[in-house]
Amino acid sequence: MKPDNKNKNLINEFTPFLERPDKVWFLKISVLFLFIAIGFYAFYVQVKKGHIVTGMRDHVVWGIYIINFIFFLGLSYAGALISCIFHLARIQWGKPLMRMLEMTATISLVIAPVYILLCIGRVDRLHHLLIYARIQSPITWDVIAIVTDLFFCFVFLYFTHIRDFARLRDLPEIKVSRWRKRLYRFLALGYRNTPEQAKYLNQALDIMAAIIIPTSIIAYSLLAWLFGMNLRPGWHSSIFAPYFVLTAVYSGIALLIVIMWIYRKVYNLEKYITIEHFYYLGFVLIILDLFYGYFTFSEYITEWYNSQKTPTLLLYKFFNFSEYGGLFIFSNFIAAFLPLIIIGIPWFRSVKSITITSALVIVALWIKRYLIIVPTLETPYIPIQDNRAEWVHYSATWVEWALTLAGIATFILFFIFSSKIAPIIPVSAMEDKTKKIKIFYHKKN
Amino acid sequence: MGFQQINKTLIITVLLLHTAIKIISAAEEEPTLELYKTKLGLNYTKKTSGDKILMARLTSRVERKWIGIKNAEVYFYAQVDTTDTLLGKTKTDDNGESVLHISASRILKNYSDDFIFKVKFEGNETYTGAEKELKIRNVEMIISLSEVDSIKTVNIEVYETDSISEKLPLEDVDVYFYVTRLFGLLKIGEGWLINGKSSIEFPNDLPGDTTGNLTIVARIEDNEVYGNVEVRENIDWGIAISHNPGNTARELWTRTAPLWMIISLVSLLSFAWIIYIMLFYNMYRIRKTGSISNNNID
Repeated sequence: MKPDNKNKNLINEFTPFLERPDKVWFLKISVLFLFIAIGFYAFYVQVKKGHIVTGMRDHVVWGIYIINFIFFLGLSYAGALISCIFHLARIQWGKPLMRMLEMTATISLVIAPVYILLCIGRVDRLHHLLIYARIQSPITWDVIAIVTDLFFCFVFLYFTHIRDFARLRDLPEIKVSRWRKRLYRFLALGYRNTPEQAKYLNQALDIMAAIIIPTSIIAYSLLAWLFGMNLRPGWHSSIFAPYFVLTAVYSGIALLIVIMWIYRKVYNLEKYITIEHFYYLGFVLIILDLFYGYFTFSEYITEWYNSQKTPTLLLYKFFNFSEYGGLFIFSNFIAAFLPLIIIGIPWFRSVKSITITSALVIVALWIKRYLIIVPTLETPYIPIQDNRAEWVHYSATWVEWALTLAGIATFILFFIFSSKIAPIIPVSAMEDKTKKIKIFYHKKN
Repeated sequence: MGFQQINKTLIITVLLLHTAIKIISAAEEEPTLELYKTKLGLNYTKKTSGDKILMARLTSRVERKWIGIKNAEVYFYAQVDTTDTLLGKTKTDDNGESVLHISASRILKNYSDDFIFKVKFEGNETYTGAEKELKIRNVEMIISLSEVDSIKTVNIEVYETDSISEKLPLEDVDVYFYVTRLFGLLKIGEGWLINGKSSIEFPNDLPGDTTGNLTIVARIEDNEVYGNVEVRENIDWGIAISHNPGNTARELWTRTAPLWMIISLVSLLSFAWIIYIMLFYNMYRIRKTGSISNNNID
C-alpha cells in the first residue's frame, strides 16, 4: 500500500529543499567557507606567535573567546530546554519550531567548546583536563556536563529525525544521490511506524526530553558558578546561576525568532511558521525581558548599595562614557526595555519589528556577556602593578574577531547543511496531530 | 540720536577689533614651555656582606602631588679623593625609583673616611634637572647569638673604625631586631647602643621552617649619620613546622575530594549512562522490530 495523499503532499512539499542545490546556495556556502578559512588563518597565527596576538594579557585573561563560549552555550541550552518543554507539554503550535530548536542546541554545543580551546595557551596539554581532573573544580564538572549534554542533544536530534528519515527512504521520486538514499535507509533504523516501534521511539524521546531539561539547567548553572565562585567584583553573586539560565533562554528565544524569519522567507514557509508563532514567541520575549530587567536591577542595586571600594569602581566604569557607559546603556536598554516597547505596544507589533527586536536583543545579550567578563577582569581587588595600557585595558584583536566570525559562519553553515539532509519542519510530527500512535506506513504490494 | 548711533557703532567696532587683535596676538605668541620641577631623594643601606645599596627616587610635583618619574636616567657618583667618580647609571622604574648595588670591595672613602654619594638627574625637555648629596659614616655591625640555660639572646656590636684602625663604639643609636617572614619582617624587639653593644632576648614561640631555621635581622634604620645598616644570621631557634597534612579530612582543598562530592558525581554519571544504555537498547529494539516487519512485508 502507498502512503495516503495528504501525508505524501506534506513530505513532497519539503523534498525540493533537499534535492540538488542551486547556484545561490553554492555562493552562500562559499562566502561562509571564506570566513571559516580566515578563521583558520587567524588560528594558525595564534598558534605560531602565541596569545600575544590576542588582546588577552595577565589581568584580562579572558576575552571575547570566553564570551563566545558563554553565548553559544547559552543558545544551546536554551534550544534544548525550549524544545524539550514543547515536546513534553505536547504544545501543538510549537511543533514546526522544534527542529530549529534542536539544531540550535546541537550546533551551538559543538561550536561553543572550540572557543575554550582557543583560550588555552597550551592546547597540547588538553588531555591533562582528564588525567589530572580535580572533582572539586567547577571546570571539571562543567566539562563532564557539556560532554554529557552534547551526547544527549545529538541522540535527541537523531531520534526526532528517525521518522522523517523513514519517510524520505520510502519516497521513490526524491531526486537525491544514491549515497543519500543509502544514508536515509541506514539512519531510519528500519522504522515502519509499527505500534511497537512507535512505542519505543516515543518512550526514548520522552525520557530524553525529561533528562535534557535538568541537564541543561545544571550545565549552565555550573558555567555561572565558574564565575560566581570567584571572589571578584561583579561575579561573586548568589543569583548568577539563575541569571545565566534566564539570559540563555532569553537569547535562545530571540535567536529562534530570527531563524524562523529567515527560513520563512527563504523557504516560503508562511503556511507552517505563521504570524501567530511570532506573536506567541514575542510575548514570551516580553516575559523574559521583564524577568531579565528584574534580575539586572537586583544585581546592580545590591552591588551598588554595599559601597565597597572595588565593586563601586566597577559600577562607575559602567556609568562612565569614556569606559563602558555606551555599551552598558545600549545593552540594558535593548535587553530590558525594547521588547516591552516594540512588542508590548500593539501599534509597533509586526513580524518584522519582532524579528528586528530579537536580532538587537541577541546583540545586546552578547554585549552583556562582554560587560560581565572584561570590566570585572580590568578591576581586580589587588591593584594592577603593570600599568602598560594593553595590560590594563582589553581590546580584541583581528585574530579574535576573525575567529568569532568564523564561529558564526560555522553555525550558519551547519544549519544550511542540516536542512539539506532533512526537512527543517519535522514533517512526521506535524502529521501526528493526536499524539496517538498510528500506522501511516503500509506494506508494499 | 545720530551721534549716539555712531558712538555705539564705534564702541562695538573698537571692542570687536580689540578682541580680534587679542585673539590674533595670542595665536601668534609662542607657547612657553614650562618645565616641571623635580626632586631627588637618596637612601643608603649597608648589607651583611658589606655590599651597599643606593636607592634614588626622582619625583615631580604635579597637581600638588609628588609623582615618581619613570624611565629617567639617573647617575650615581661617589667622592673619592676629592673627585666625583661615576659609580653607575640606571633608569627609574614606574615609581620613579632607581637602585644601584655597590660591591663591598669597591673603594669609596675619601680623605675624611666618610662616604659622600651624589645622585644626579640631568633633566630633559619636560623636567628640570636635580641632584642630591648624601654623607654617610661607615660602621661595622657584628651579630652574635648565644643560648644560656635555654635563654636565647641576640647580641650586636657596632663600631666605627678610625684612620689608625682603632674601633670607636657607637653610643645612643636605636637598633631594631626582626625575623624574616613570608611577606616581610616581623619585629621581635628594639634597643639602643651602649658602648657599641645591644642585646635582646629571643622569643621561644616563633615558627621556623621544617627544621626550625629562621633568619634574624638587626638594623639601624634611617640614621642621619649612618643611614641603614643591617646584619642577618640564620639559626634553628624557631619551632619546626611540618607541612605534611597527615590524615586530614577530605575537603575541597585537599588532594582527595569530599565523599559527598564523589558520590554525587558517580550517581549522576551512572544515571546518565543508564539512560544512554536504555536509549541504545531502544534503538536496537526499533531496528529489530523493523527487520521483522520488513520480513513480513517481503
